[in-house]
Amino acid sequence: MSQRVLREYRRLVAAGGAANESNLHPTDPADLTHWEATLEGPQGTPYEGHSFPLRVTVPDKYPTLPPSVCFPKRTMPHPNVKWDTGEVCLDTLAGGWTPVMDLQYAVMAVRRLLAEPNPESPLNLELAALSRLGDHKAYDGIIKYRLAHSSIK
Amino acid sequence: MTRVKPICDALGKKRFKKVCENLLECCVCTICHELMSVPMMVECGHNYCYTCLKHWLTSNENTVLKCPDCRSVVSHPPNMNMFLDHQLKYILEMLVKNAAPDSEWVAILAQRDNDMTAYRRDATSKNLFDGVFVNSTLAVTDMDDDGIPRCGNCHWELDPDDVDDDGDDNVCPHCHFRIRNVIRPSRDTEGTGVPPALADDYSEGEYESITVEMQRGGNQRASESDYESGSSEDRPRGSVYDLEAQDSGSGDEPHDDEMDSDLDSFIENDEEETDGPGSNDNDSTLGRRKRVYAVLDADESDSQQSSPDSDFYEHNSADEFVSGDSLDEQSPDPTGRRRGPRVALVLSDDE
Repeated sequence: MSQRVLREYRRLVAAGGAANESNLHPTDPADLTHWEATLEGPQGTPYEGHSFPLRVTVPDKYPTLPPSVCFPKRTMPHPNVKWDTGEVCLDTLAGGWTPVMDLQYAVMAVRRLLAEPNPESPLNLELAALSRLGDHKAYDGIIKYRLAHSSIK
Repeated sequence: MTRVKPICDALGKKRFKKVCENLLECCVCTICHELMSVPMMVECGHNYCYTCLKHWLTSNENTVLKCPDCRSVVSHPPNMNMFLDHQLKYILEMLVKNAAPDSEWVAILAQRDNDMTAYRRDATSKNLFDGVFVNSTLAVTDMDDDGIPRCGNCHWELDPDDVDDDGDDNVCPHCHFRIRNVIRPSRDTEGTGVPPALADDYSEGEYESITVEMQRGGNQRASESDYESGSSEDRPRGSVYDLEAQDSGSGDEPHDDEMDSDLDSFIENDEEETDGPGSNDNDSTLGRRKRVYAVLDADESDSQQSSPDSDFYEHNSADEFVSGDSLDEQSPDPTGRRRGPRVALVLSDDE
């Protein structure tokens, strides 16, 4: 199934930079199993003004199995991201995955997750609890504090 | 071809090209992003390569089978889309005519022929999609059996609460067959508005008669269920049609007058049936049935009296009212013949 990744790569290259706003690219064009992308913090969220690197790993059985995505550890304060590992909990990349989706779709889904967290399936209990309580001041404050002290600006 | 030329002319060169591109786009598998090889059509209408679809359907052993594009349940084996296959073969042959022997089109055409051979082999050995449709089953719900979803393989009861809405882990707890459709509680799938509260009111025996009762449209449950409870096995098994019929009556609950006239005609029809040449009812049962009719008639004329609810018949049935059980015991022979047509008559009444 590596043919499919190759076609996606060719299409991304052919479409050019404008169509690829997350700058999704393979870490090494000779090995299409590891990709990188950069997510800009969506406007109107505490993530605004920050940009986040995202690692995408393509499994052997792709596209039958979804790609796995991960933030670098201890960089992403988010209810659905495990702070210590950077692991992302997103239905699209688990049970909701179907092979008609592609890598770009997966990255877009993570970007949407930044704007619309889902506190019902949390990996960061602290933030999810604040979100559920409706304490937006504390929620935004913790995220901003974490981002300010994170190594990635 | 007579229609094609005017369409081409009307489109003009530029739009004709666009249409062609669009049609070619439809020939590309959304899983492998290549021209489809042995296109299989899922019941929702989406098409995929046989190999791609096989990989997808066999990728997880325990889940509901779903279409990759629209996620609708794939309960039946997809069929080969012969029309699309002919078009694809034609496109590839045209491509190969222009191509060098080592071009990718030659390779794709060869791959298509290989895939077709593999598909035919799987089809003849009844092992299509790695047997995912052979080694799995559908949850079935028999409305004559309390509407409980059961495993289509071993008939084990399936508890909808054990399965989440996504259909993950959709496996029969008894025979471990994969269930490839979504198990839902019968009350939801019926869609016929059997109010759960009403269903809970019934004891086990009464509940068996709920199907017929709901056809009658509602409230006169005790009279009905008393009458039917002994003979629910005699009812026709066409539960699907029963379900559809319920729609007409069960949604709105008729008030007393309506209901009585309904019941009235019901009994009359019943009598016509039993009077018919096929029945060998003796005089005594006929007489008794007329008494039932008389009771109802009196009921109808006395509009002040409350509806013939369960209490009424429970208290009267011992002497005055002949329940369905005893009727059946006395004339067991015609019951089987009688049930089918009578239900049909009632149905036409409701409509």
